[in-house]
Amino acid sequence: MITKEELRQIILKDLRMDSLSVEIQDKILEKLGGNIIKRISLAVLKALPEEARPEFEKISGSGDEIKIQEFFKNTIPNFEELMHKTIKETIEEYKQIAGIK
Amino acid sequence: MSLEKHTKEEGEIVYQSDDKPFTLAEKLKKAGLKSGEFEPKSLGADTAKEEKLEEKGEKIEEVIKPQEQKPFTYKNADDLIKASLGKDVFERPDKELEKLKSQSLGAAAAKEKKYYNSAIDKQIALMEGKLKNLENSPKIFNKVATLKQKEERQKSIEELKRGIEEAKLRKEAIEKAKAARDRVKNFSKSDEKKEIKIRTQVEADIAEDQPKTYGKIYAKESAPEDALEKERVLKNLKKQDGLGKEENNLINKIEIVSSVGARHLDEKQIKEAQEAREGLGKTREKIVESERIIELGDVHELIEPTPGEEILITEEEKRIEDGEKFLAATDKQEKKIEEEIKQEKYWIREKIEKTANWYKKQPFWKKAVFSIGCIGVASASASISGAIGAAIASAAFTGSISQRAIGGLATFITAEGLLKKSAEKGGKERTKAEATRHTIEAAVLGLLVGSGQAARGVKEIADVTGVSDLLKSAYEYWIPKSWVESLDKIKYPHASSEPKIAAVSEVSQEVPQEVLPSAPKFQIADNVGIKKGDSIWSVAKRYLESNDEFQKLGGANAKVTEALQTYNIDRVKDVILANPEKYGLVAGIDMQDLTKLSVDDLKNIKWGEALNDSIQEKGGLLANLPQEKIDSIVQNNSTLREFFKENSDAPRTVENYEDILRGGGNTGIIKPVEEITPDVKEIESPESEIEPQEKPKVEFKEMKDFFENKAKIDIGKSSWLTEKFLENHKVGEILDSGFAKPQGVEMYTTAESEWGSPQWWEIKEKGDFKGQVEKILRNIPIEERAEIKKTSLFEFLEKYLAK
Repeated sequence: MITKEELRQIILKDLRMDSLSVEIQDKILEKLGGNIIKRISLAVLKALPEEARPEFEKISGSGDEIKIQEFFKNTIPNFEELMHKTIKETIEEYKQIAGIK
Repeated sequence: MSLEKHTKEEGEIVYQSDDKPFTLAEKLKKAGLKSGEFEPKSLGADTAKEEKLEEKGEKIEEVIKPQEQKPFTYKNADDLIKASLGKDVFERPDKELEKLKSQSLGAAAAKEKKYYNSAIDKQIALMEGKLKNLENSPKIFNKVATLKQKEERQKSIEELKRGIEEAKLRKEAIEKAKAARDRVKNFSKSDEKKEIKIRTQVEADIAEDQPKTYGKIYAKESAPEDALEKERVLKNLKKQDGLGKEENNLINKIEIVSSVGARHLDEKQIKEAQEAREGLGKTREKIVESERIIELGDVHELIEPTPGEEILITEEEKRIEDGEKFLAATDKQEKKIEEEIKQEKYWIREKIEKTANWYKKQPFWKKAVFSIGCIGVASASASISGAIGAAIASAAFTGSISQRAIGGLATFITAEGLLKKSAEKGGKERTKAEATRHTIEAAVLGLLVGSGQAARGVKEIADVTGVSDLLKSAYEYWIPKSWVESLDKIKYPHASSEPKIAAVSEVSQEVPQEVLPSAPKFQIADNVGIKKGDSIWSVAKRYLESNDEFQKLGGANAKVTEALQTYNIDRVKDVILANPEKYGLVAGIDMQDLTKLSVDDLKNIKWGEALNDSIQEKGGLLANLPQEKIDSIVQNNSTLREFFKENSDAPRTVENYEDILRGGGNTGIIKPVEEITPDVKEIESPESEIEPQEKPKVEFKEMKDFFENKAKIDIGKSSWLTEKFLENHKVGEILDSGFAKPQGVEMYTTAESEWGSPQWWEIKEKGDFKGQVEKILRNIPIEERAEIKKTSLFEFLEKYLAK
């Protein structure tokens, strides 16, 4: 059976992080996460039609995460694909800058 | 370039240029000019002066002299640079500050190294002054300023802060680079003696043959090859006499030794020469690198060679280099994203800024959960090759759960709203939304459990945040059994006769749809009877049994019922053990022995609160477990039952439970002395092939002495440093970054411990302890380290302190 550790190694290896110290791994993860979150926000907010903004403000203030997700799905075409694509592109871009082939 | 010379008055010269001061200075140097006045061209016109010069018939081209700035009279080019640094470069309008940071500072420092620090200090001081001004009187400003002005002011403050931080980093990098360069140079000098010795030998060798060829002139085409070559060598050697300190020439000399003189040298000398050449080659690379760092203001740290030490880059150094490179890449990417965001309208910028700020404030483990999950998502299809990758991708992107998780990530955008809502409810009531988020976080964490602090801290997070039960299932939640099996088939094709890979639809169907019931509702009895011999576990069980939903767990399947009930009882017990004082137990109570608590102790436990925290607040009773887990729980229960049935006196401690499940366990029967002490005769008998075990080479007392006296760890303040601690912890564990930090969820917050507090001491002493272990490890060959990290600290110290 594939173990958690194996799976983790697969992913760390993908970013060539497997040989780095845990401290550096953590720092990279933290910073990369920050970059991804900005890109996701940018992609989603750009894709949100302007006429949907008032509704968005209302829903985002409600604190109901499920409603928010539904709202995104209903107002942004191919919402999940967009999320997936954005995350993937951001990671790929990072790899390119870092010279990871 | 336009360097223009003008005669201002009789005998006075004005130089004008649109070049930057450094460029101009270089040109002046080249031109051999010693003194004069410098006036930048772009500072305004002086018509009267133009007219005057026109009358004199000199070339006129925008003769400029600013009203407010007098020309600077310089003695030489260096003087010009120095003055310009103060007068021109660093007194520009605000809007150019950013540009200066990236251009002038680097250029200034690169061109005139001796002014590095003063230039950077000056810039830092300037920026700090501006920052102070901007931050002054915010109340008044806020009253009178427009929204746009406020926004601009805030932006300037942030830019200045970032600028100060960057300049400080750059200064530090330059210092390090300079130090490295100096060391490298010293290294070259010390090696020079070796070079001279070799060179002398070569000269002597060549001199032996000299009379045959030296001084004779041959036509180039008819000259013996040997003679020409030797002449060239001698010429070079002679030329180099006065230039021995230059690394380039040293390298050339070695080249000569190797290529020409080598045949006159013995094997040892050749080897020596080659090694020296390689060494100097590396040295040169280092010098070039340090210069590059200085020129670019790069924050990469040089690996500094110590004189006499091998310069070859070690694996460890390569690792550090990679780490820094990757970190720098995240910074570069951040800047790129910032640029993209700047292009957007205010509404979008504002939302992103809030989201980014919210992210910054999150404890590390949350950030790790988020980014690890994203990396997992991106990696799954992109780079995990072949069928395994395809299977991961299918499972990750087709199941409704993962879709929900990915969708959940987007709701971070509305984090401010979520926080607000939570705050409105006093931070007490856990909303459905929060429950979902916990599910998502747990699921993502489960995908990749094991990275840095996230992995090590799972238990601590779990105990305090309540994600624990989710974590326990998260792996299965993200990776359903059928999918894991399908991966096994691909990974180990010969292990099974069923090579089928689960179809995507099968995978989706088998993903458990709910781990966390959305609206947990269960009630418990106000009181249950507590009697002598009870434990936390047995009382928790009794309370839970008073709940209908608990009774119905598992339906008609007795095995599932047993597993789910055991699992939920454990949740209550774990919460109490993690924080005994919170639930009414006396501080310092032995939590290892679950039966040591008196009836009163058990009665004093705040059961309502414990059940609320462990079950109700965590989304209710866990009603689903993977079959594998069910089997394992039932099996463990059976093993424990059997053991205690046969050994009624066995201690019911956490430790003993674990030992029993590992196949050992203390029966509680005190064996007669002869049973404990093996018969000497038996050991010595020829039939016995078992050799008596060697006594530990180092006792715990000696280890303590070592840490106290050699490593200067205050044992009195290190109650954690016990023999048991050394036995129970592996070397690898303490090398983890979080080891020295306090246990519990505090580790994931940014709060600093108060200086001198017990927490502070623990961090300090643990940090020192970690440092000592690392020090010992450094003396062990790299290839052995991975194995050593798996051994216990006790074994490790026993072995290496003995050496």
